[in-house]
Formats: sequence, C-alpha cells, structure tokens
Amino acid sequence: MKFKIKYLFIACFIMTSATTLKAQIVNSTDTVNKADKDVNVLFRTQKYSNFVGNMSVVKGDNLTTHPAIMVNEALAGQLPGVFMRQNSGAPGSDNFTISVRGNIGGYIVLVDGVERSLSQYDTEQIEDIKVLKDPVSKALYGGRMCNGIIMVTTKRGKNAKNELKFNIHRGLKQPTRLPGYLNSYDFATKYNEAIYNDGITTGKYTQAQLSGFKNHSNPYQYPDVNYYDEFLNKFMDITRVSTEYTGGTDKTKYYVHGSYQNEGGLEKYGNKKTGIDVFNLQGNIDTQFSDKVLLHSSIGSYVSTKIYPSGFNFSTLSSRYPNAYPIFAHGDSLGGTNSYVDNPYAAQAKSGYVQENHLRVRGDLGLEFKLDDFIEGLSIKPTYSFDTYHKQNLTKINRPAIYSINSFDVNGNPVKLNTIQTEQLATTQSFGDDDYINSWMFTNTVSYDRKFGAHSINTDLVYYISNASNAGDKYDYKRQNLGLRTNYSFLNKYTLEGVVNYVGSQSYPTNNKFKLFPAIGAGWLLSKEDFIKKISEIDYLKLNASWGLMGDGNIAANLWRQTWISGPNYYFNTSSSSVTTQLNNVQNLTLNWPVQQQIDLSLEMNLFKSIYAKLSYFDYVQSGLLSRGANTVLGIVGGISGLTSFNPYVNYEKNKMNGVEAEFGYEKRFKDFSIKVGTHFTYSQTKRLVVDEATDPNFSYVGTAMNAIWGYRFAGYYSQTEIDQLQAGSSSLPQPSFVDSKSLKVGNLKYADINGDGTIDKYDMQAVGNSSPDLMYGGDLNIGYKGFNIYVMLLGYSKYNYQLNNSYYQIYSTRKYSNVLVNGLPNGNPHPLLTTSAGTNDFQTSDYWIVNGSFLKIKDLALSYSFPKNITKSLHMKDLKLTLYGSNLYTISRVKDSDPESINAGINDFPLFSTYSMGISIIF
Amino acid sequence: MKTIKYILFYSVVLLVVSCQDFMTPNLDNYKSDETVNTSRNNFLGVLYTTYTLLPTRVNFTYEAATDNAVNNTENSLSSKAARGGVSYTYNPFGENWTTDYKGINYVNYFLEKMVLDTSKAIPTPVRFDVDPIVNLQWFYFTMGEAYFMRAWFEFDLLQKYGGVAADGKTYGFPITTSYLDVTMQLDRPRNTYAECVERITADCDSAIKYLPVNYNKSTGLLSEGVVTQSGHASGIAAHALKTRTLLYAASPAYNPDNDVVKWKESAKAALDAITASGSLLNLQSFINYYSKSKLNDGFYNNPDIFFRGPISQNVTTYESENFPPRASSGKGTINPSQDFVDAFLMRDGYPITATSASFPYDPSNAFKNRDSRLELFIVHSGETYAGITIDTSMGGLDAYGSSTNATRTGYYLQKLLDGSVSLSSGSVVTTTIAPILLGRPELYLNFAEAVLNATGSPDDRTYTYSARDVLILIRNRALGNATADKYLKTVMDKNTFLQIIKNERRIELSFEDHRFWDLRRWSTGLSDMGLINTPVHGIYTTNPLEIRQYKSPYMPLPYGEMLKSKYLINNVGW
Repeated sequence: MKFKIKYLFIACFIMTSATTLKAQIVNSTDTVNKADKDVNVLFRTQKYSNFVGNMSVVKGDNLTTHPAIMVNEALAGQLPGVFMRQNSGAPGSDNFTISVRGNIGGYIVLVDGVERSLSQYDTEQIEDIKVLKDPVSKALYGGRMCNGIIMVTTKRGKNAKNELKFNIHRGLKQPTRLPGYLNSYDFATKYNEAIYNDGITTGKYTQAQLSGFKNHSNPYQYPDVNYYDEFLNKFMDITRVSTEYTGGTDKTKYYVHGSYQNEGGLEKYGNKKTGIDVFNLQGNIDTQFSDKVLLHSSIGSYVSTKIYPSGFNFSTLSSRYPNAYPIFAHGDSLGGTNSYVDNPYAAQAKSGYVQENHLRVRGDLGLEFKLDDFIEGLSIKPTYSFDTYHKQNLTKINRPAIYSINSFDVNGNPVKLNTIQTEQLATTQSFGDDDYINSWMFTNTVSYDRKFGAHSINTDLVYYISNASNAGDKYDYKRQNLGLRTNYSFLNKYTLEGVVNYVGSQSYPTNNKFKLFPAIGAGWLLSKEDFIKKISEIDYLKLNASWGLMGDGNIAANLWRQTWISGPNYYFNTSSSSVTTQLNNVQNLTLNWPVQQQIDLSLEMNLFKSIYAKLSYFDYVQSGLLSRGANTVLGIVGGISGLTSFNPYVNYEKNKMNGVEAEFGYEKRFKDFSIKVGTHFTYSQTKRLVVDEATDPNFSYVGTAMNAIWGYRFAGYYSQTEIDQLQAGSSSLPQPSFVDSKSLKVGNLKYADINGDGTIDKYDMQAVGNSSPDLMYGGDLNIGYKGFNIYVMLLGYSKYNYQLNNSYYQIYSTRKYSNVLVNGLPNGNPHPLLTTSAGTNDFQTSDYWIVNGSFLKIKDLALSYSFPKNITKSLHMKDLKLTLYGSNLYTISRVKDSDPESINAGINDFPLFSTYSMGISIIF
Repeated sequence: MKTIKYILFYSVVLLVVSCQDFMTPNLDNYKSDETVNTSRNNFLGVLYTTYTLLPTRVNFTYEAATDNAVNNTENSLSSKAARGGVSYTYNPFGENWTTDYKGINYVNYFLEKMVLDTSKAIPTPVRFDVDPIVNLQWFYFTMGEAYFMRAWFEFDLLQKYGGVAADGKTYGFPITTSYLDVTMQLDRPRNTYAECVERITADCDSAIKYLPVNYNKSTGLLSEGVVTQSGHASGIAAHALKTRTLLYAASPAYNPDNDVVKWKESAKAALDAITASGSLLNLQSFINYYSKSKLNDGFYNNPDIFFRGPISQNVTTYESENFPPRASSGKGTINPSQDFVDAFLMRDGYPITATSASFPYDPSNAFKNRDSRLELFIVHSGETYAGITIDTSMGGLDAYGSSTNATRTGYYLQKLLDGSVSLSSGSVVTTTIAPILLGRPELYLNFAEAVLNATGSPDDRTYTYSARDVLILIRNRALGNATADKYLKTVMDKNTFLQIIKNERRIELSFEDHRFWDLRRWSTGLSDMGLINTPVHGIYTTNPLEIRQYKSPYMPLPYGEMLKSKYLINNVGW
C-alpha cells in the first residue's frame, strides 16, 4: 500500500466528509441530492426517490457518544416511532420494553440482514440503524408479523486511506432515584399505629424501645439500619476502549474492530461486585475478484463475563425492617434472626459468587455475481450466515455463619449469641445453567435492474431459509421464504412497488403450511412536478402510500395437532401406581396464520432549504389471533385446567391500532456556526374488536383499548355509621364482593357501584388508565461553533399511568414501611389505613392507586470539542475530539420517588442510572 | 468463463425451489392419538386420569356452612359465603361443573374405543395381557371401572346442581354419553332429574356387572378381586353410589310430589348393596374405621371402606389446618358448634333434651356420660389433645381472643385428625390420609332412611331388614355395646324415628361433606329453609354466632356457563 502521502491526505479528507454526508440522507436538509441518495432496504439498495415506504434512521455517530455497553441503551429515543423503556439498570442486562409505534404487535431486529441479537455489538460498530415501518418495505419478511423491522447496518471497509481510530471513555453511573424508607423510630411508631388499627394487643413497641431507636444508644439491642446507604456505593464506573482499523482500495476494503468495555460495582462490600466485562472483535473484508464477482465476508465475536455475588438481592434491601437485626451481632459475627438469614453484608462479601460466561461467534459470507453478459441488469447474490451463542455459569456458593443475640447486659451489649446458621464453605465450584443458540441462514437474491428511457425497473426474487436451535426449546425455529418484489418507476417521479411473499412455517397443518402475503405501495415525488417546482420554497415533497398483509409464522409448532402427555402417576395404593394420560391439545386442522393488515401514509417535505417535516398516518389491524375460547366454549366439553385442554386453538381475536407520527427539523449552517433542531412525536391508540370473552349483556371488552387498566372508582372513605349499616345489612351502600363487610374499618376505601346493582364486582370496573404509553415525543438540539459542539436529546412518554401496586407503595402485612407513609402517594392520595393484615379491601385495583406516569427526561447531553486541523496535523492525527457526556440527567414527572421509566427499579432489581463520562476519540 | 457463469446461474436458480420437508417440526415427546389408542399403558392412562379428579381430602368449608361448625375467621370470604353470600354470579360451592364434565368426557373417549372386534386376532382395542383369557378379563374389568367413574362424576353434577326450576320441574344436568369436541352441538338443555337418575343407575348397573364386589383375595383371577387392585372402583362401590343416588332422588327437595315409589327403589338398591357386601355385618370400631393404617392399601383390612380417594402419605394437612393454635401454630380453622355438641346422645341413648333418670344431662358438666363419639369427634375444654391441655373457657389459653386463630365456638375439631401428629418444626410427625368416599356407615343410614320412608314403619321387614335393625348397629357402635341403648326401643312412630335417623346421620357423617347436602335435600323447597338457615351457637354467648341466609335449597348453575348457553335454565331462587 504505497501511496503518496500528500495526495492521500487530500483524498481521504474529501472521502471522509463525503462518506459522513452519505449516510445522513433522510432528514437532511440537503435536498439537492436527496432524491438520488441510496438507501439500504431489505436485500437491496434503492434510490430514495423510488422508496415508497416509511423509515427513520439514526446514524452510528449519534450513538457513539453514548457510552453504553448495550446498543439498546444508546438507541432509546433516537428512532422516531420506537418506544423503548428500560426496566433495570443491572450491568449487562438487556432488559428493555420495546415496541414500534404502539403497544401491540412486535418488532424484529436484523443486523446485516440476519436476525441477530443487538446486544452483542458495541456502538462503535454501527454504521446506522433504520426502522422500517410500512408494509411494503417489510413485505419480504411477510411471515414475521411485526410493526417495525429495526435494520442495523454495521461498518465495513471503504475505498479510502487506512484509518486507525481510538476511542476511550471513562465515566460514572449514579442511580437516578432510589426508594426511601422510614428509620427504626418512625417505623416503630407507625407499626404501633397499625396494630392498634387491627385491634391486636400484642407486639406493640414499648417506650423504651422507641427511645432506643431514636437516640441510637444501643445499636445491638435497638438496631437502625439504613439498608440502601449502608450497602450501596454512590457510583458505579464504566470504561470503554475501542479501536478500529479500516481502509481499502476499489478492489479490496477491510475493517477490523476491537473493543473492551467494563461496567459495574454498585455493592459496597466484597470483591465480587456485580459487573460485566465485554470483549468485542470484528473483521470484515470486501473483495472484488473480477469485475463480475464480489465477495463479502465477515467474522465477529463477543465474549462477556458477568459476575455477581451469589446471595445479594435488591429485594432484601427493600423488604428488611430497619430494626430486624444488627448487621454485626458482635465483633465480626454476622447478625440475623430465625426468620431472616439474609444479612446483606454476608450476601455481598461472604456468600460466594456466580460468574456468567457468554460467548457469541458470528460469520457471514456473501458473493455477488453480475451477470450483465448473460442478461443485462441481472445479478445474483447468495449469502450464508451463522451465529452461535453459548452461555455457562460458574457458581461458587458459601454459606456464612449467622448469629442472633439471645440476651443483652444492662448497657445493651450482647451477652449471649445463638447460632442460627452454621458456616459452610463450598469446596468445589459447579458449572451449570448452560444455554446455547445455534442458527444459520442462507439467502439468495436474484435481481434485475434496468432503465428503459424514463422507465426504470428493479426486481428481486429473494429466497431465504434459516434454522435456529435453542437449548430448552423442543423445536428448531425454521423459516423458508420466497419473495418477489418489483419496483417500477416512471421518470423517478411516480413509483409503484409490489411485493408477493410466499412463506412457509412449521407451525400450521399441511394445507396452511405455505401462505402468500402481498403488499403494494405507491410514491409520488411531487417536488419534481412542474407546478411544485415553481414554488421555490419547496425543495422536496413526497407522498407515499402503502398497504400490505403480514402473517405470523412464528407461533409454537404443535398448536394445531392433537397431542397427549403423561400426567402425574396415580397411586391406586401406595405400592401400585399407574400412568395417566392427559389430552394436552385438541387438534384444529383449519388453524391458520394470524394476519396483520397494515396501511401507511406519509408526506415528507423539505422547505426553505432548512426545514424538514414528515407526517405519517398508520393503521394496523390484527385478526385471527389465537385463543382457546376459555370464555366462549361451553364447559360441557371439559374445559381447560391443569395439563388438559379440551379446547383447541382457534383463530379468533382481532384488534386494531392506529395513530399518527410527525417529525420536524430545522438545520442551518453558517460560516463557523451551525444549528440543528429536531422534534418528533408518535401517538397511537388501540382497540379490541373481537375478544375471547363470555357474552355478558352487562359487560364487554369490545371497543376498549388493549392497554387499559381495569379498576374500581374510589368513592371516599368509610365512616363508622356507614360500616355499621353495611354490616347490619340495612345500608344503601353497595356490598363489596371481594371482602366480608365484617372486616371493614373506618378509613377503608369505598368504591363506586357504577351499575347500581348493590355489589361491587367486576361490572363496576372501568378503564382507569393506560398501562403503556400512547404518546412518545422527543427532540434534539445540536449547536456547533468552530470546534465546539453541544448536543441535547430529550425524550418523553405520555398518556399512560402507573399502578402503584408494588411493595413500595402498597404497604400491608410484613412489607417494609416506606416514605410513602409520610409523603403520601404521588397522585396526592394519602396511604390508606395502615394494617398488618392482608388488607384486601384497600388494595384492589382502583383509581386510588393510579398515577399519571408520563415523564420527560433529558436523555443525552454531549459537549464536545474537536481540535482544529493545525493542531491535529502537528500530532500526526487526522482528528482529535474530546467529549463530556451525560445521560438520563434529569426527569420531570408526577412520580418523584421512583424512576417513572421503571417503577420497580431499585426495589426488586438494580435502579436506573444517570451516566457521566468523558471520552477522547483519535483518528490516525 | 461463460460456461461457469451458466452453471452458477442454473445452480443458484435451482436452489430457489423450496423444500417442503424442511418445514416439519422436530420430533417432540408429545403422544399422538395413534400412540394413545394402541399402547396399553397410555390407553389405560386415559381412564386413570379420571381418578386424579377424585377428591384427595375432605373439604371442610361445606361443614362450616351448616349448623355443625363455623370457620374461625369471622371476616373471611368463605365465612361470608357460609352465611349465605352465594348469588347467581358467585357460587364458591359450585366450581365442579367443568371438572366433572372433564372426567365424563375422558370416560366417553375411553368407552367409545372399548369395543371388542372379534374379527381381529386380539379382539381388545389394545393388548392388556399376553394371556387371551386374562386379556378379556382386563377388558371387562376396565370397562366396569369406566362406567363407575362416569356415574361418580354424573352424581357429583346431580348433587351440586340438581334442583327445581322456575317452571316447577326438577332438573339435573345435560347428559352426555359420547365424546364431545368443539365442532359438535355443545349447547344442550338440562335433562330432567329422573333422566339423570336413570342414567346414573344404568351406569352403576353396568359397573356392577363387570366389577368384582371387592378386593379381598390375596391371589386369583382379576375378576375375583385381588388385593393388588385395591383403590380401583369395585362392585360394592357401585352399589353404594347407586343407593346414594336413589336416596337423593327420593328426597323431598327433588321429589316434590313425594312419590313413595322412589323411596322403594332406593330401599331396594340399599338392600342389594347390603347383600352384596356380605349381609348385615357389624360395623368396625371407630378406631379401626378411621385408622390410617387400615385404608385398604394393597390389603383388605377395612371392609367398611367401599371406595376411597388416593392415599396421601407424610402429610399434616388436616392437622396444620385445624389443630389448636397452641399446638405449634395450628390454624384452628373449623370449629364445631355448640349445636353439634348438643346433638350427641347420653350414654344410654337418650338425647340431652329428654334424658333418663340414670344419666341426666348436666349443663355444667356437659361431657360426662355422653356417647363415645363426643370424645372422638371434637376437642373440648379440659381435654388433653395434641400435647396440650385445652382450656377454652372464657379467657382461657385456647379460648376466643387468645390468638387470631383461636376457636369462635369453644371447640376444636378432632374427627379425621391424627392426634399423634406434631407440627413443631424440627420434630415434625406426619400421618397418612385418604378420604372415604363411599362407606358402610353411610350405606346403613341410607338404608334406614329409605326403608323407613318406603314402608312407613321402623319395624317393617319388607326389605329383609327393618330400619330399626340397621340403626341399632350404628347406635351400638356409638354407645359401646348391644345393651346400652335404652332409648331407641321406646320409639315407635315414623316421624320421631326419622328424626333419630337424621340425628345419627348428622353425627356419623359429620365433617365428611354430607351435612351441607343432606340439609338441602331434606328441605321441601323455597319455603322450607329453616334447617338450612339454622343459626349457629358457641359457648361464649347465647347469641347466635352466625346467621345463615341462603335463598334457596338448590344451588345456582355456574354463571359463566349460563352466559354462554341459550338452553340452560337455572334453579329456582337464582
């Protein structure tokens, strides 16, 4: 590779700027070439003017500033239409709730054309991520019914000078919000209230105990442990180092990437804090053998090790009373009681650990044959990919000794200890929890691209076959698909695209094994029309419309067959048992694919050379969803219970989702100053059309939203007179069906009898909220001045509600007393009557416990400075950039004491985190 | 170069042809219809699945809804249901509809396949045994079992849902005798009570035809009743079930016209049962009858058990639920009532309300000189039980208020519990239980009631034995010996005698899921709810502890089924 350095410098400078622009086509205000830009769609590249669908794109560069180990974490909020909420911030946990455009229907992730898990890549490897939302662009995956296909393209080599890139990031993660609980004195005082409410006379905390808790004079006898402060660090660190080497000529292009990432360590004690180490390696080569044959190949691997202490659990912190036991009974003997041996210090430092080892290897090999000699415009592209995933756990568990204190001396010091748990050190390590997934896919695309004057035809015949086998799954997951896509465009102004997809699935009876799914779309590039060209303000105006059908071939493989299984043996007498055979599933020879009919309309425009706008409308109807008719089939046939089902699966349920999306952007570049603002919002609503429910004239789910929360309406608190009347049976108040009126007390919640029948039962339930957001909105702002750049991204979800029904908000029985008892619920209601019983009446699902869950977060904030070229040249570098970065920085929401993105975060599992980091990026 | 291109092109095009075989799922371990219909164990397994639907234990909540007992938690939902909180949408006592039909559908599937095809070398649907004679024995034996199981589930439906509808006619349940699947017409009206009874008795008769009377032989042919088959349905079980069914059919609630013929049929069936069981034998002692080691478990050691549910070993089910709280945190759930205790006789057979001079009833020393069942069935203050001395007097250690689980009535349950069980962690002692589903004491009581009503006199021997002959056996067991009973011989008139039978039934079959249904079948209809709604009392106050407010002696059909069906009509009162 000997080139003159001077020419290289100029050439690669031009190339790099050209390539960065090339990827950014969709929302760009650079309209001059927008229509002619190439976009990747499924199995081919298309001119944007001929694209009749609806997609959103995010560049890889926008993701790299977010120092996340999981690409999913960086992706949240970057793709309009993709709803993503994180459920847990545990290092290495891929725990997101993702949906595209709304709350029903699924999504698929394709990486380089193959269904792969996104979590094995790091953000540096991503070229761009697109989401295909309309039926025509998804049609070649027509057998995989979904709302959106998230298409990830990873970086490959370019025809440019060799480039060596380094990236180093170091940062801290801090929990966004942690739950707060009462200290021992406040807890004991409130506990006395609770047992007084229950009419129990034993177990009351005495005055001596209360003062002991208050003045902390005797920590052994009157412990007061603040579990969260005591056992969690304030921060967790994150490190990322990555390197990339890429380059190429017009004949060969290569790309090599390696990275190391590390995150973790929120536990205060012990040397096996929860953490993850990730190694990523990828190599790609694209070679042109002759002018007719092109080879693409890549191989990559992902190795990660996750460690966590074996006994430690967030639920201990959120359920152990502050005065349960002192952490140390005496000296360094760990404390506990007969009922609780879950001392968190022991769990973190003395109970051993579990190490999860994950390994993934993936490879792709593709050829491209240009057969212009044979038929002009014909090409064939076979590709083969394989993926393998393997996981194994290494476990080493120790059981520490735990003591309880039997007696105290006059000063409150322990005198006699009682061994509750004896020490047991594991002398061997054990391997287990093995998991694996092996999959392969073969694709063959025959394409014909020709232009006949003003007409252009692009046709593909795509065939693919794939198989994935999973540990623990009886059935390999098999797919076969043959699709024909034709795109016809006249003058690149009027485009028509039709797709016909013939899919096979192993899950249906013979006559329904293969199905045909069509899709059709049309696009009209209005800005090329003369009457639009006259309006100089309009730079680009395109109207797209599409319709298509997708089917679900992805259900379990045995739902249509008549199958029996062995039930538990029956012992006629203790020495003679017999096999029992139970009917597991009744056959349905007409079981058919559930189908989703999709309609998408969009209008995209660029105005004034700086404004961008896109409006879309979508309508998805799913029909033929499977159900067993538990509510519609008469019990005389035997019903469904235990292992037996006399009801077959039938295609029955139907539901609908529709909504609108809008995106707006403004971009302006001045000499040294540039500004870019964008905003997007998606609103969708769902409706049930056909429901598997009993035909009850008084109640029906038909017409209601799929994500509705059904609950009672709160109607005040019971007074003593009301309770007396209710128990005597002389009241006009309705009787609750879920509890005996004799157990009601003053201060318990009253519910409204909506239908006036005198009982509070399911007919009085109404839709009191939404369990998932109907509205997503966000925006970003990017301001650059010379080498400085500031980037802010906001993301918000709205039109949804939380049920405050976890152990932090609903306190009864032996649950830990939280600050809710002092501050009240986030929706303004006080916590109802405190009780130590199960408190059935007050904790029914009702609007008393519903709070507006919407929130707006500052998701990303990045300040970067790119050093000027004269400095970088003198350091022999091409580019040097420094970034300060923050994510999840601030949240605006009704719910203040837990993170509204996941209301259980920090209670049952790791909290969610804000990240603060600094990074250096060097390109040689 | 061109030829290579052509080859490449054609081979690639060929690959485009789809492979049908690829789209077959992997083999799994589900069994197909064919496997089940041709493999011996799997085929028998279809019938044996119905045995898993039998009760595995007594369900005391029924008793807590009668005048015999209350639930110790005043505010529980089951207590509310017990006080009459049953509506046409909510019936916690009627959740068996789908389970019973599940059993019936399994049996129908099985019976449809059980046909002999004499044209084949092996005439039976599967080969039960290598020996062709034994093979046929298995065939008939299993067929008899199938008929009995179907009759069992049918009777359960009849007991729980049978009743008079608004049109005045008595209905049972929709009868099915063939395998149903969802493509058939499932929505059917209820058959009349008489049709259901006919169906059940026909099934019992088929079972009697094919099954051995009991399993008391140590060796021999299958058809002779070998002990290794104990636990399977037997001929005597079918007799007992038939008797019970006919007794219900003749009872006032289901026999509004008071047709004596029905009583006669019931008496005849009872006689057949007694004859089949070896004539009028003495009853086993209580210790033996309820012994956990005499459950006919591979031996024939309890001739009074005709049919039992599965045996559960190493359990403390009844004890952990009903032991007094001080006995290692027993939950003391079911508390026998004062009314139940008052039903027990004095040592000489006199009721406490009309005592003799020899053993007068002394309220301050109520447990002295009472019939032996009192000490065996309930735990009262002053007794030593489960390792503690019970004190349920006001303010006592086991009395109401001493703990959340303490008794509301002053009594704890002892019947069916094993006093040697220990619940203390670290030294748990377990026991063995099996619910007695059909037994001799019930048969004798059924006979007595049927014959008394059929003949009108306690001494009429039309049916070989008179009601008095049979009742004496029961009372003698309770009172200790054949000469202790001084009261029964003084009773001559039918109505008083009937009351005595009912009282004996109340005590003998207490806490075995009978009282709830007996109270209902003795009612003559909506206007006769007195017995069903009797208030219940305890020792602490003269006020009633619970007032029951049932609306009807019949129970409502499941609400879900009523919604789905156009033809089902509900019982009157709902």
